[in-house]
Amino acid sequence: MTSFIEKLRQIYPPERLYEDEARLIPYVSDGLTAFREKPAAVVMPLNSEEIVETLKLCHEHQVPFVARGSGTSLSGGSLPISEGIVISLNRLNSILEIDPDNRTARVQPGVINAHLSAAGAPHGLYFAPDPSSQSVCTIGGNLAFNSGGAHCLKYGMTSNHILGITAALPDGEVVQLGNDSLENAGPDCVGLFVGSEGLFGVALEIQLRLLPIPETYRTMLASYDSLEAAGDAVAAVVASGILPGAMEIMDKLAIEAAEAAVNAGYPQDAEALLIIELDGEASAVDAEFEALTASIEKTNAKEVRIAQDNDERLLIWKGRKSAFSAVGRLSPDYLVQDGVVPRSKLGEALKEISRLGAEAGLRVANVFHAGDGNLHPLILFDGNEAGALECAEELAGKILRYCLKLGGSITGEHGVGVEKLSFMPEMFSEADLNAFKRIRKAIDPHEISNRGKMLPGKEAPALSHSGPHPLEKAGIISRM
Amino acid sequence: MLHQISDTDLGPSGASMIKPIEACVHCGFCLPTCPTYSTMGDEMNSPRGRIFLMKETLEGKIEPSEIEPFIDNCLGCLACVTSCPSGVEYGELISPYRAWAEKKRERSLSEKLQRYALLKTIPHPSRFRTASKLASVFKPVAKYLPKGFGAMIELTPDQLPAKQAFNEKYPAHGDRRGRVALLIGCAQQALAPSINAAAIRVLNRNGIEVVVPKSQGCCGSLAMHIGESKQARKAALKNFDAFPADVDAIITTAAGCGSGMKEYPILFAERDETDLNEAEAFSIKVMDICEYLDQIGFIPPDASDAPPIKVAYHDACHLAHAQKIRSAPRRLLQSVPGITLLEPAEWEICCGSAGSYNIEHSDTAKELGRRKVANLQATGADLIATGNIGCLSQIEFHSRVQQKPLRVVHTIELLDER
Amino acid sequence: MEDTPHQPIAPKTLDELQSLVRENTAIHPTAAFEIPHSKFKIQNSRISLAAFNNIVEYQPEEYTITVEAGALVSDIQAILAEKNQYLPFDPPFAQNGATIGSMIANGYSGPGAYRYGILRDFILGVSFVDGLGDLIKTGGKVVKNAAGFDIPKLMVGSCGSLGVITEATFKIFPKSPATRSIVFKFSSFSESHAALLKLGRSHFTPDSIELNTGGHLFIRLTGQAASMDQRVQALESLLGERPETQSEADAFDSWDSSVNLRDFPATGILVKIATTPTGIASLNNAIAPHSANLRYSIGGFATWIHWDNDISDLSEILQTLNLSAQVVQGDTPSRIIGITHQQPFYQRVKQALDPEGKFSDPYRRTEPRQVRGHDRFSLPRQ
Ligand SMILES: Cc1cc2nc3c(=O)[nH]c(=O)nc-3n(C[C@H](O)[C@H](O)[C@H](O)COP(=O)(O)OP(=O)(O)OC[C@H]3O[C@@H](n4cnc5c(N)ncnc54)[C@H](O)[C@@H]3O)c2cc1C
Ligand SMILES: Cc1cc2nc3c(=O)[nH]c(=O)nc-3n(C[C@H](O)[C@H](O)[C@H](O)COP(=O)(O)OP(=O)(O)OC[C@H]3O[C@@H](n4cnc5c(N)ncnc54)[C@H](O)[C@@H]3O)c2cc1C
Ligand code: SF4
Ligand code: SF4
Repeated sequence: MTSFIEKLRQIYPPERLYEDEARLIPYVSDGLTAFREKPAAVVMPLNSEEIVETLKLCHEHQVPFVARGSGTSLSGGSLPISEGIVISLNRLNSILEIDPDNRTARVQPGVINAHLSAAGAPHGLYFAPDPSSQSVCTIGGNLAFNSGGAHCLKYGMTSNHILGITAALPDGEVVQLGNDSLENAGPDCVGLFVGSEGLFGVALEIQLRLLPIPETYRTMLASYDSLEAAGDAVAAVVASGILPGAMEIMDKLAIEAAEAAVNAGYPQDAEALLIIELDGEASAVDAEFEALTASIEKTNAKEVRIAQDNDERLLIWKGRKSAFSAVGRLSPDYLVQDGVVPRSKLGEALKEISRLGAEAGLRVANVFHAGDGNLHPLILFDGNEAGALECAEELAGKILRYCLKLGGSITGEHGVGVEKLSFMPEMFSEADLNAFKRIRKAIDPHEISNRGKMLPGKEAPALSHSGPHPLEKAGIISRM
Repeated sequence: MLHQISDTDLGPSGASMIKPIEACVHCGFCLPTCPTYSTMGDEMNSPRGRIFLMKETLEGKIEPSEIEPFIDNCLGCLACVTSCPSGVEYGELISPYRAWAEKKRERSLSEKLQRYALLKTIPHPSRFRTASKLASVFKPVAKYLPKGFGAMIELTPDQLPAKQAFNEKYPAHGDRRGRVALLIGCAQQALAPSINAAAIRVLNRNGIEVVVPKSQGCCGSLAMHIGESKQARKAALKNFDAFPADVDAIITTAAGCGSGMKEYPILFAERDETDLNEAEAFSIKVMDICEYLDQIGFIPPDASDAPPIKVAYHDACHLAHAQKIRSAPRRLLQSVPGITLLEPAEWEICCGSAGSYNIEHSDTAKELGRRKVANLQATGADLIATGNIGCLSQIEFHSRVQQKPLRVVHTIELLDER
Repeated sequence: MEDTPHQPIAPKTLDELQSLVRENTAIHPTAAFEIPHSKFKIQNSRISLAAFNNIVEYQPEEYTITVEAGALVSDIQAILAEKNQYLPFDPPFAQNGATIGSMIANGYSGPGAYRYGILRDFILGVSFVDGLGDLIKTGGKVVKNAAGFDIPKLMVGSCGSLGVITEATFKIFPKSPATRSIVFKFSSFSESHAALLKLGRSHFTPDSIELNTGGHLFIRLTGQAASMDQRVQALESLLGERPETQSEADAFDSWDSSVNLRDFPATGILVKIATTPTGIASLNNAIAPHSANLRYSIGGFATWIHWDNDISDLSEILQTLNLSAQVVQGDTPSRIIGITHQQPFYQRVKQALDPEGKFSDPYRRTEPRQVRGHDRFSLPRQ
């Protein structure tokens, strides 16, 4: 380790190589603070060459590393590895090119999602994936987690918008995947790299697809007496053949929190709120809006409201996008789950979640991508109470298992990270996991790239603040 | 966020400090609007990082001295409060934390001198005038002086406007709609007395009687924001006595003073109840000039023959973030015939002025100043309006450095002029 | 198990398929169902998934479908159409006997991919038998899933080189209530190309855009019927040219022919190039002297080219233009031509999934490509 650090010092000046406590501590967690781990060092590269040098060094010394964007992962994806280093990509934040004719852009990984859309705006373009964290999360993080957002219903996830990647593999080899076209020739290696949770090295440059900013939007708020009624409304809209840009549901707790955070003007007496947005060419949207109104009229909406102008629309979305963090107003700690269920089973899943929550004696707020069946139950707890975290984690586990039982997935967009490691064997067979591991080994023989994430193995997850991690207790993992 | 701070050791301000730490969910939404994070890109210079570091320090896991540089770098602009969905009142953590840490702090002699110089000059219009005359003598050698001093001198204007005295009372024009007391401020009073004069004229024209208490002093915000609570309390107490109780509002034209005075109760949280009550009674009346005019129903000047003008509005941190006043000044400006209002990019990011920040941390302040000027220039506005004297001089200064001078005025001057 | 020299072997069960893979040294999964033509060398290692042609799960209200890999794409399209749903990426060659497996392995998309994305954007899950004979299930059956590596996407364009696909799940979309097809007939390619770029810079969102080399710009709009006239008018004023509106029958025929590349000769080399809307101008220039057939699809992001000359000439042209392409038909040294910068990464993945090299390698010559035969025979159904 010492000779490794020595060599690291040859790459980075002291102001970009952090080794002291005060500069390491702020990196111990990402968006999931239940896990904390102090890295051996943090480096702040200014260019691709430094990253490649760093990876070569890590490979040579078999020192694990974690690439880090804005550290907003909700599954512990950018949690440091003890004895490993963190490669902070925040200064690699240039938008290298915007090509309005081809509707593409080339960016460095540290570019903030919303900054890309802002840069595209003068050309009438935007980056479609819109995770709620878009004002802060980076394109590199989006890529690694194949992040989604409210509008992915119509436009797909991050993966659908990445055309090419220049990446440094964990041994320092620089590869180029895909190209600057929507199409590809041969296997979709870009598709494999996206969503690999940082296990394949570091994306250095990313070629993206931008979409034309819709000529018009129509945003509808419909409130309901129950989550189920809102869920039924979603099914009705889908069945009518309209493809809205987004369909989101928030429950009472989430509405309350979001309202406190941004005063979005949500109806306060609703048990559930459905946000539906149409977008596209004005004449097309007008026609769709009529069809939408017709199908919503048949649902039992308490109140239906239409955003009157763009400010109102933005406010509605700001509320929705603030919901996770806003829940921090209701409870000092929370766990967000990210399970997916078949859309027709939304109602069933929600009922079970509230039953499980009541059984565990914990409050659960729900904000989710209804159009995709992607649930986001937020389990509220107070980490200062003994056993509360364990209780919350247990509930989270039950919810995920239920999603699997319904034929869904343990994660729709937040990734496995460290948090959902123990569920991988429940979703995948040994052969499946073996294939994943073989691919991982072929790309990273020493398994240094984001070790301990996504693929369950011998590696230890980071220290959880309240004693051994449940995975550890369950004997699924152990510390090195 | 989970913490293991025991509030018993921290006294009454402990609870105030713990609340934001508990409310922070580490989501990072505050990062991009934080001026230090957006220029440096590292966690310890972000709100989230600072909260985490203060937590660790208050837990006793690391020494305050270790995290000092990152705490010092904070401009106190409170952009993080505006962007935090979880309702973290960062200001309620950083100010008491600074006071707490200041007690344990060893400062170098030159640092001490600099802080002393600041605290002794800015709050006193007459001393400020003398000092800036002296400073202009030193300007040619500014770059040889220690960093902070150099910046202090570089920033002082070459020439100050003539000193202006105020009457104790300015009666309303026409029917009296209200009566307010005006805080004239210190640095502002030396740098641009015209702002207060404009405020008085506009208020009078709107039927408001204005009193200017003679014995008023500095509001104490500067001292408060850099952790000198004792001096800040002294200033506050003086003003409690100086300001009359029979006014509808205590008006300020300086956003920094306004936000500081609205926070008086925090200063007295640990003190005796009568002081605290007095602080609360006082601060509840404090209003920014734009906030007040907007509330009473501003009567715009008759400017039908004034030429059209494009105005970019710059949000002063202490107005937008600390006092959450953004729409009032915009509404006022838009009500004036001929004004087209423009919005610069990155409105939430500080211009680098932030109280004494551009003096204590000149590099970041310069970078921020450059960035702000670029964003303002990009709007193509004829004129910049803002609600704070610090921003005004910072923007003017950096636009001059960039050889593209911008004309910057206080919002109230535009409401008066037209 | 039949093992005649002429016919691909058609395992009946997954176990059979797995042991076939384990026991053989060279495996070539194929959509072929009978001897295409006697003049082609037929290898014994050819595996047909004809026995795997069931629909595993289809609930129209879920907007997903899971099917076995031997199912004919055309059959699946017909089943979806009954519920007014479709595969929005317009899979080519459905009429020529493409199966779900070959569709994924080839990875082609048709003109309709312009609006919502290509095949890779609609694939949610894949099961396959890897080079070790293991059955691997990846991805999921729900529209969103972030668990595990995204192998379903990797299989798109894998050319049968990473495993035998046995089952796949797709995201599907509701069919739009109405479509309108129009043709702008410009007098030259450069005019139609300029119009394409203009469209690209606008907020218009047509379903499909194609260009031919003769200055015709084909546009298909989808959406609510009520909006069509207005949208056509808006396009007209944007491009400053009056388009021809195709009759429903003409439109169907024209897009159908385009999706299935019916205008191209049945023999010779057919190549798909990954291009960009701006880049096709220089490609058009570079190809002009070679009298090849070209069609610009997916708004300029894919180019189909029929090449009757030496394939290495085309490969060289593509290299100078920094383009990558995939051979669709024809006997060529490798299936990927032009620039091949993905190869080093691909080789690592290939090594992991097919360590013994049982499957072909699209970057290397393995076996001759077969000829497509247009509508020359009817498709037998299982
Ligand atoms: C309040 C809140 C709301 C959220 N909402 C959503 C949402 O709606 N949808 C959603 O999908 N997610 C959401 N997230 C999760 C999170 O924001 C996303 O996963 C995001 O993409 C992470 O980006 P980041 O820059 O913070 O990455 P980090 O957290 O820093 O890193 C995430 C992972 O990416 C890897 N990584 C980062 N950069 C690179 C690179 N250049 N090359 C290789 N690997 C890299 C890291 O190693 C790590 O494994 C939310 C999070 C929060 C806190
Ligand atoms: C236009 C056209 C006309 C045709 N006409 C006839 C005909 O007249 N008579 C006839 O018998 N057949 C016909 N076929 C099918 C034809 O026999 C085969 O396309 C031909 O044998 C070529 O075989 P292939 O394996 O190279 O390609 P295909 O079978 O088309 O397969 C394409 C690619 O996908 C791979 N692949 C296929 N299935 C899988 C799978 N399950 N998993 C993984 N990879 C897979 C293949 O290895 C290959 O790389 C036609 C096909 C086409 C496209
Ligand atoms: S936005 Fe608020 S809750 Fe989120 S990290 Fe910043 S201070 Fe904490
Ligand atoms: S007050 Fe300003 S500088 Fe300090 S942490 Fe908050 S945003 Fe950053």
